[in-house]
Amino acid sequence: MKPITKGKAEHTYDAIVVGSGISGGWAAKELCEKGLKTLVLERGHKLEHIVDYKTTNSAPWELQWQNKSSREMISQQEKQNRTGYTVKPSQNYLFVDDQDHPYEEKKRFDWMRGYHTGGRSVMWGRQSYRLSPMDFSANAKEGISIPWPINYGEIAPWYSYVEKFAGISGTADGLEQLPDGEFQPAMALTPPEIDLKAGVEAKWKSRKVVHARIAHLTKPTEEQIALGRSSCNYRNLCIRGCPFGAYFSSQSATLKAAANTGNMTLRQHSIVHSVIYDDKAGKAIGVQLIDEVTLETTEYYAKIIFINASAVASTAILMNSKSGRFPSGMDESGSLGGYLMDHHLGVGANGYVDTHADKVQFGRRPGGFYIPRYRNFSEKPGKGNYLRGFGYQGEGMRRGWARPIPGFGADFKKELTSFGPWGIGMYGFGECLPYENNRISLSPNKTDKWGLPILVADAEFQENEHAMRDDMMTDAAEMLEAMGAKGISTYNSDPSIGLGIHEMGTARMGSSPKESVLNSHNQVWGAPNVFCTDGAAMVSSGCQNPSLTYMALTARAADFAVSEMKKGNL
Amino acid sequence: MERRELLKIMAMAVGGSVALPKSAFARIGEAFNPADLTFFRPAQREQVAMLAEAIIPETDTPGAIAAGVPGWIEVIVKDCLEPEDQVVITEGLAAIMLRCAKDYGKGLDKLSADEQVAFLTAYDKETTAARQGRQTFLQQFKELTKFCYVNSEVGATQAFDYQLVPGKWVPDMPLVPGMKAYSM
Repeated sequence: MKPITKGKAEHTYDAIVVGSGISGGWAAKELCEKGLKTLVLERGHKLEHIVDYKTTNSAPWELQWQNKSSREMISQQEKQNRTGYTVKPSQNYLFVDDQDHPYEEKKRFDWMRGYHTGGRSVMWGRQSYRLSPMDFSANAKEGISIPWPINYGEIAPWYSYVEKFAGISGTADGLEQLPDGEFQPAMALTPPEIDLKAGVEAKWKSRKVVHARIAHLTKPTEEQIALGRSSCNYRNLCIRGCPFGAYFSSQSATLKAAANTGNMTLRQHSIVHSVIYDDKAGKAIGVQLIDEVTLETTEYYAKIIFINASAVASTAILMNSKSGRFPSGMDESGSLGGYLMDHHLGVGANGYVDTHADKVQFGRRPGGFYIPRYRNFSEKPGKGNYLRGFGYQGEGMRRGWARPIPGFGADFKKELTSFGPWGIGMYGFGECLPYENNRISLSPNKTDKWGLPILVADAEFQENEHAMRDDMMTDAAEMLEAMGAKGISTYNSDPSIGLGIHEMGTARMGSSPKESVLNSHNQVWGAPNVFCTDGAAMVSSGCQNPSLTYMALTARAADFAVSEMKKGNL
Repeated sequence: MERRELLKIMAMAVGGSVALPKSAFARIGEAFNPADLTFFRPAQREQVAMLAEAIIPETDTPGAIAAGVPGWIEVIVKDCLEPEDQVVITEGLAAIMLRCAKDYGKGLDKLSADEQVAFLTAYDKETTAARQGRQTFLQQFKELTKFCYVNSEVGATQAFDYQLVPGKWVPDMPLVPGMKAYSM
């Protein structure tokens, strides 16, 4: 099919942003606010803030099967269902249909995706932590992979910048391994969580229990109120979209700010095929896209292109962008597609306490507590020998009706409709090292219904990840013991890559085009007007939830891009 | 107060000019359609109802039948369970009813409340021992009854405390005896 090239002027913008999720939304906001006419390309359907969150206020009895998954839903979304919570009537429409969006698994790869305005910013976990100086220097110090081309000091002001706008609730804890940010008031800990904090910090001076830091408003700023956002209402139905705009999503925050400038054009159903590179000019001139619905091929042109399609999808676009200069995709280092990472999870412990029986929580808090990394920081590994470490998320709440309750009849019913004891549990998030042989590639012979080569994943957690899981499980149990919890049970399931939904790497930043895809400002080496600022750029993973870092990298790169453009360097 | 009115007030109360369009509150279609009740035979349907009611009887709050639990069980068994699990339900239902008739000479619904509990407790113990750790029919059916009751409109709003929009977070509210547990 011949590209439609008529009306080139109408297809020309100052900037193009590929993707409208967490990082794409940030690129759109920053570029629009700096005065650039910006075209945002979203591959999926329109999902308008509030209006299209069709299940946001649905009671269980208003949902099919009281919100259980049907056999048919699971067969249609077999891969999306691997989380165990995504394919339910309340939210399955926010995750892709696996029949339409196939990929190949040489090894199991759980690729959770949402193709609509805002992408996964609508369904994300919202926990927001900074990487620490230790995280940015670990590769260099240990000789693993390549060093980050930036240090913590260079990104710290950008963390502050994005935190102020996004709105992060939390407490300043003064920890080197988890730097403080710009926080709105934290959501208070429950009585057993306070006991956990006291018990753990008394027994181990090297460990801390802090409030979860989450992208929810608790004291909105004027700027946030002006965008139509308000405080969290403690529904914890966040994954369905928030009618209060209380948590950060592209819809509630960045895309709205971008639209307010009058500089944004958002085009839905726009699947980017490739970046168009001009060999003579030595830079990109635009992108080629396929309309999801009409299947027509179109080209759009701009001076600056931000690729924010999500880690793996951005890499796929770079791989598919072939030119004289880049005959096998936009990379000359051989690192494109390699070093896929994710956080490994599915390990932790649960228990309960008999104390505080005269108290109960009110409201459904969307976060809980966080235990930042201590292994290979303030403590050596316990069992096993491994690099890096892990953190925990957890919460302590009254146990509800889902707890096992013996008996039948009136006594059973009475117990069922009463509060159980305070339960408390924590689950680990472990760092994953970047390995050259954890790779994604494009299929040489299989294409999807839009004619694009499907993705092939060939990656797995390796020795270092598995080596820390014993500690992740037994430490959790020991910390629950330290607070006097009872009925402690542990779990440690076989982790699969992707299930953390923190997939990252595959187009890493670096100091040299010989070993990296992107430079220290997220510019593609050899294509300086192409930026990639999503998870693909990550050089190491840390063990903290990564989205806040993508926001900071994006705002930093957008600022640099516009200043370079003004200097005539792009 | 209508839920939508409450929500509008909530939105205004928390500050910020959130305009909540009516469409945000539209039901997404009837979740429960009586025409979907096609899985069980009429006799099985009655057995499902009497067993569910024996597990969650009417007390000072409605029981399983008044909460529509049997219908919910039927649509879930029909559309959500794998065929091998459906067989566990239909065979298990037949077996427990047969056993009840054998032990008491009458149907489960004709037993006194105490007799129902005694029968189910004994049957549970016996079948659990025989299944060697795997979930028995009665355990599966009990969990399903529990799930459908708490997620029904009657169960959630009358036997439990249903809070669509808590509006605030209190980590340590006093627990007063008789307070109903949260439905979610």
